[in-house]
Amino acid sequence: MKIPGRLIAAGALCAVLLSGTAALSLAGQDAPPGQDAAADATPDPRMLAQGKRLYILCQACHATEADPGDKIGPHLAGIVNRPVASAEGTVYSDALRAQDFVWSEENLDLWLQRPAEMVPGTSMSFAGLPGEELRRALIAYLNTL
Amino acid sequence: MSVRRRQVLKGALSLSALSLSFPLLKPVTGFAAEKATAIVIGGGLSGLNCALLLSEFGIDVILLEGADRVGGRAHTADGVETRPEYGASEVGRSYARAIDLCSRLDVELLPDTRSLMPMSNYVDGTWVRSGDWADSPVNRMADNERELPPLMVGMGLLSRLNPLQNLDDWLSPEFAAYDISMRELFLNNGVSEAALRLAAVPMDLRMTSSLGMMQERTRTLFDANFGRTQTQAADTPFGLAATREEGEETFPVRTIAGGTSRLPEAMAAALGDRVRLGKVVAGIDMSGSDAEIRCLDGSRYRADFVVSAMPFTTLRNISVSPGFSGRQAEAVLTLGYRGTTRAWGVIEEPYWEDDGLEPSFFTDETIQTVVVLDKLTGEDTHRCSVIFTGPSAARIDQMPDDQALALIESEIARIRPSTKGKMRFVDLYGWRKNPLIQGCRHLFGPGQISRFAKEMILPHHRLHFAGEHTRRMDFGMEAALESGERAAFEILQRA
Repeated sequence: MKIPGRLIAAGALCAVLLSGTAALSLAGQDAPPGQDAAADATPDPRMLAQGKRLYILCQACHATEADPGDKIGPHLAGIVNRPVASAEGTVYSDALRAQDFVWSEENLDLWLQRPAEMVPGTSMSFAGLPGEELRRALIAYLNTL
Repeated sequence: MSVRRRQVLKGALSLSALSLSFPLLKPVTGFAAEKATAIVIGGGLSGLNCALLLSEFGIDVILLEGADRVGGRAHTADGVETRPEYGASEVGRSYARAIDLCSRLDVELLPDTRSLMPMSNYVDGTWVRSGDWADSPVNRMADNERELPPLMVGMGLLSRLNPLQNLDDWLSPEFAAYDISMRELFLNNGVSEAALRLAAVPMDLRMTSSLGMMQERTRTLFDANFGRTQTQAADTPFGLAATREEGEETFPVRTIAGGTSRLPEAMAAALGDRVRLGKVVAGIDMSGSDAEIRCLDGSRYRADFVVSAMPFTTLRNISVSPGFSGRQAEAVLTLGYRGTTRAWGVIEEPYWEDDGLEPSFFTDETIQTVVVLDKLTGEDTHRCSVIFTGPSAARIDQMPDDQALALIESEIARIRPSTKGKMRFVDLYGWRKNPLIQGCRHLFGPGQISRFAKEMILPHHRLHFAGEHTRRMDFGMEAALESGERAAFEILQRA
């Protein structure tokens, strides 16, 4: 996959979009050194709680259970390591259907920085989530779905 | 929540301090401050969404609304014949939050079946049918402009010049050069004088940032193409398509069954007694250890966090301490707002059969636009609406409603005599005249996006900002809901 060259600038923009508070408030809640949500079967409950709060930004479009209901985006049950553009009953953009990868934690992290940067032409209208810690917390939560 | 326990202690402390300093003052028992973790000021879609999300996350919230109803610019005129929508009416294909809320609150969405009938033009005192416009001698625009219908000249030219790709590109310094008036942009790009004149009928080109309108075109285009494989045109007058597509669509444009007001009402019902109507806020004091909100009726509220879900036109009237500073102050005081005024009516007889012109019409005179809709399923009359936006709204708003309505009728009859006795008006509403809103929408002036679009939504002490004017990616109802979600998100990160 092409590594987007404008990610740093995009991240700076996203920080403004979501206001600085999110990034600031987590400064004291960093995961303990060496802890990796991906490797740890039982991630820090605080991190999971934070991830659940962050999901407020996702919940309008994405169901947490396999039935998407009336939500306009794909459901996120089992999203981690799911092949891209593969949820039944979802209308994906041409741009996303043309991709061939799985939603590994690394890809989710890249995506959540700025979807339109990773896959230009996506129909996901989400500016991005600034702060590696925030994304790690959100992905830890996604891992429980 | 620990914050609230601390607050009770602090409250007790400050009360005893007060009685020590002013031993002769008796506390007015009726006006003891009510406490909550968060107070949301404004019961439009943005404030309601913010309060709902906060309460879903266990935050103790109270919502104060100045009017005697919730909904703000989502307002269905229930008592009026044909039940007009004063404000928001369309749920776009990609309005994720609106669609999700309707689903969760059991508010029914119906495919939008409104269809605009063709539009003739009355320009320079001459009638021209839509099909004759491009080659009409009345059309003095340049060759590459002539095909644009008069009502769509400004938007059509802007769409051609719009470089934005992503929904948030408007906030990127890369596009700051477009933060100039639409007039300047058009002059820089060789737009003809005739096109400038027509473009200035529905909008004030001097007061409107091109970049702000480009954000809307980009968002509208995104919505038009959402979930579809063929590229769609996005330039339709007032969001009304001349023809709706046949057949089943995965994501149709929809309206709310029974009227747009049903959505804010359902949201308020979900919040229950946390919504307080008739609470016009006078002041927000954040100089102490929490925020105190004073209402005009003497009632007071204390909270850790406050959300201004009001338009800046209303926030301007509120005493805020510590006061705003720098570019945020500039934004609160000077952000532009635009009016829309509409009259609604029914067609008693199809006057267009008498004069051979098309049912809807645009004029470059007092009456800006008359839109006539195809008969809705199950109805035997056409509905019509006279729409004034920007400068033409500002002009008609100078008259009391009854005089404005009489003038609208006589002006329409003067320029199009076939309508005499065949159009019957039932209502008129102008958003600039609503004292708690003073406009139908915000409108960035030239240079205002570069100066304060980013700064204006940053939290000010305990005060956070929501409202359609604080949108980042969205448009219409969805912009209000987006902003309420962002403010709730900010507070959840702090609470």
